[in-house]
Amino acid sequence: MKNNKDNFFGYIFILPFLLLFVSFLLYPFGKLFYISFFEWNIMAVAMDPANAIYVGFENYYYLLAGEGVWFDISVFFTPIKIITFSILTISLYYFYTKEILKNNIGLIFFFFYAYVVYFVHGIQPTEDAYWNDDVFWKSIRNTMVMDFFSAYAITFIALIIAIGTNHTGKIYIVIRTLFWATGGVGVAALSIIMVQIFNTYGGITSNFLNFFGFKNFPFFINMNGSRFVVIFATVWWAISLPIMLFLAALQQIPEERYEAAKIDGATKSEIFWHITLPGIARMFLLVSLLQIISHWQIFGQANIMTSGGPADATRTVVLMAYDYAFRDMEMGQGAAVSVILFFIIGFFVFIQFKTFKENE
Amino acid sequence: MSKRFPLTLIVVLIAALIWSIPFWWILSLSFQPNDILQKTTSNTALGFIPFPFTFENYYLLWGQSFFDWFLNSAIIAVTMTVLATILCSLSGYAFARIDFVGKKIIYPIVLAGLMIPGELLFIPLFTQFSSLGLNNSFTGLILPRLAVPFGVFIMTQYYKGVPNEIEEAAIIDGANRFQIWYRIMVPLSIPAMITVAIVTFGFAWNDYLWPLISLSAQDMRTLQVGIALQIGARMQEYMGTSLAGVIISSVPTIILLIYFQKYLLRGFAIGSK
Repeated sequence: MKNNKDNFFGYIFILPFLLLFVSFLLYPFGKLFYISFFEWNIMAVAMDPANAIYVGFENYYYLLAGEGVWFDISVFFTPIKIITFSILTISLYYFYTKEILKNNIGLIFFFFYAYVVYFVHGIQPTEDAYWNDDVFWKSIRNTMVMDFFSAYAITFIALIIAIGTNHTGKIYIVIRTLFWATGGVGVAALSIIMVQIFNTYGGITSNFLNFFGFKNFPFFINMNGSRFVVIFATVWWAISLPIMLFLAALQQIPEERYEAAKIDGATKSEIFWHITLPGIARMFLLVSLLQIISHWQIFGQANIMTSGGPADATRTVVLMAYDYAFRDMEMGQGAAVSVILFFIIGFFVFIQFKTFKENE
Repeated sequence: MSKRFPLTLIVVLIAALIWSIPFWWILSLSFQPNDILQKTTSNTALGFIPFPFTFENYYLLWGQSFFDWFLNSAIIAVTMTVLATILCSLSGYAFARIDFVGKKIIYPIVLAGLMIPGELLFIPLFTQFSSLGLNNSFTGLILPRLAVPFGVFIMTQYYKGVPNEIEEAAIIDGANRFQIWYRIMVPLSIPAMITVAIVTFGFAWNDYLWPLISLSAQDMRTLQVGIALQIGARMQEYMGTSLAGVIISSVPTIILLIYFQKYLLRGFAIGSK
């Protein structure tokens, strides 16, 4: 009797949520895959659902394949690429010999992702060759680069800010608030602010440059300049939660460890590398994964500030799916882009779930 | 004992002031008259001091379409927050404390839903809602955002921590499950519910992609969509007024973020366990 009552109330309680969950999360998720196998013109299908044409994997093939695409090693022989690679490898070796990498899975993952981002640049069509969809691979590369730099800039800067402001006192509360209040700004407001800051004429950067007698720098015309603006906006905007998380983690490191290290005569940098950093290693990984996952879906900033330009330099994957679906009216093609992005994000989500299940 | 020179404090303070420069600058510009901003944005002290000073920009916003957007956003965000918090609390209580048949199957599925990035579903949601005829309505904006497994997860974790004795005493007194939830569990779980409410409100207020797709009527626009589509175009002529709008649009969420930061942190502490 009691059991029946439990069943009754249990289902009554979860029913509203479950209905919404199934109809607006699980069902659309299934339908995303379904649509991606069709040539699904938004207008034609709206008139008659029979107008959706089954095309199998053609949408995916169109996005991913190309003629004569090869891994081009020659792109790595420019000075800047060689310097980047050397810095990366030397610091990896340095961390390895100093035994800093031990027990610091967050840092290991950083190097892993850095190498992946570095070598993805090599996937290129050779001469006289082409991608079926030239923009798709560009957008994957753009998003990956912007995602990597935003996520790790946020992680490292948030860590530095958290360590710097991890003191008691009213003044530090004000300072912390100054740092993380930016997270309350909405994405459209953020974009307007950043356009205003980096505007070639009348932007604050130009005002400063002019003040010191330099010329304006055209951020929104230069490819790397506009990427920088998008990354800067993202970092400025999304840093508040990581700061809070790092502060919480820092305050959980037991005070005795610091005191013991001081008695042993450890220097400040030794304390940082061997006590502070291992103490928050778990949080480091969590924060960087959360940021990586959320900035693969970057859309608003790029859409409002640059519309993907100049020359597709800031065209992100979600922006591309959006353009396919609502500018070109090809829902099927857009859905295929979303599915591919889902698998990329799924990889990071999988790592997140795996590492945090094991630690329990 | 001589007091040490507070080097850390000064470095951190300067860093914080530099970090928030965009904010000060925009704030200062929003208090300057439009006709001056058309000519230069660095009038006094590179524009950091609002001189000549005016309140006109904020005054002008009143009664414009900006006011409608603000109202739309407020209605949507408040409705979404109230509904989502109640739904999450109800189902969280059921998942944590009631042994009903099939819980062992349903709860893991809900948790697996955490892995689906909801932002990516805009294409199927659009086709779904246009066949339901719900695009361009507040219902269409609110419904898909209520299915958030994150809130259910937080509430479930919280209710699991409530001691058994409280509930057993109420059961002996003859209270049914709904009464227990309403009279005992809701008051006990106010902190966790605030966490869910804050996260939902912030998300709803700053939601951009889905309203952009779902709404096409101008008078239905939310704050973010309105700012992105209309304010950007008006920047040249009415810079001060536009920036005043930007400031106003950010005030509610910034206040929430600062005022309720400890609830946010607690939520993520529960979430990352």
